[in-house]
Amino acid sequence: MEKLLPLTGFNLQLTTAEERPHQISLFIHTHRQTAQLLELAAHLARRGPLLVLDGGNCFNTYRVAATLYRLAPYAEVQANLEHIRAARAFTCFQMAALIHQALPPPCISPSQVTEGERAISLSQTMGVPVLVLEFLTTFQDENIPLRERQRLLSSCLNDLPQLAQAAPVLVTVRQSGTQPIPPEMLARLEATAGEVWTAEPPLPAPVQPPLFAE
Amino acid sequence: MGRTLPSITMAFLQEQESFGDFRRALRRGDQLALDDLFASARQHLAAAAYAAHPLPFEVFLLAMLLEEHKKVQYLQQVIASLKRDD
Repeated sequence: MEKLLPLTGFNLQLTTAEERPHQISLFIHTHRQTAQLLELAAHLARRGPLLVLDGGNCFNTYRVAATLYRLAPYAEVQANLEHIRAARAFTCFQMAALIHQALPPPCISPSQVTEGERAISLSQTMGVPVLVLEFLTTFQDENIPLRERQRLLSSCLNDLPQLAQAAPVLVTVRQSGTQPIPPEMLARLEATAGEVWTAEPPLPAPVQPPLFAE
Repeated sequence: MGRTLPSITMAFLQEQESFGDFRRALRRGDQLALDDLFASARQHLAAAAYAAHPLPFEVFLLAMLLEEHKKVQYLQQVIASLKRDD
């Protein structure tokens, strides 16, 4: 099992949620790390509610359930699974709408509520970590005009920092060899993110030198 | 819009594949018995899909057990009929 640094970073961000404002964590990965992200979702579901916005149709709940069965006592698995709210976006329009819907309602913004209400909202509504899986995948759809995709991306990039103020946010982007991510979109996302993690390519298999040189 | 979950057949094939190393280490006769078990679970894929259990392998195990129990019941009937004939 490879060590996944964002797991550490994101967990650290969760544990220090009260001490410092949240920032967006961006994880650029390949297909190999998708399974580990699902395991991360299972770990987070053990801790409490979790919102998953899936842009790449990669959230395999069988995998998450199998991990939870490994982590949790049998009787708790169902309750832990119910912590997860998952929504899938198949177009960039849907992704923009999902992120906008995930924003905390204005009535519970910290400036407008009392201290007591704020404590309740932070614990019940605003502290729910958000996983945005394969965020840019839907923005690679060439059937949608580039200008429209860029407008929607701008909308998402405006909403994500607001979301991050209310809850820890991990955005993932999957690098694909067949359909590379447009560099300008990735650059804009990286500029918005507070920290960027990139999965290292796998090490080449070790080659044992021959005992006797020919 | 694509599938949001692997179909039950895909899940079954993935589970079967995950036991590939185990199967390879078995004796030939045991390999055939294991194949037989998976074949018996395969007969109940429709029911497994309907169950929509978060851990499909549990349903596959129950399907294997079901087929084994049907065989036990059949053999009990055969033995009972043989005893009656005697």
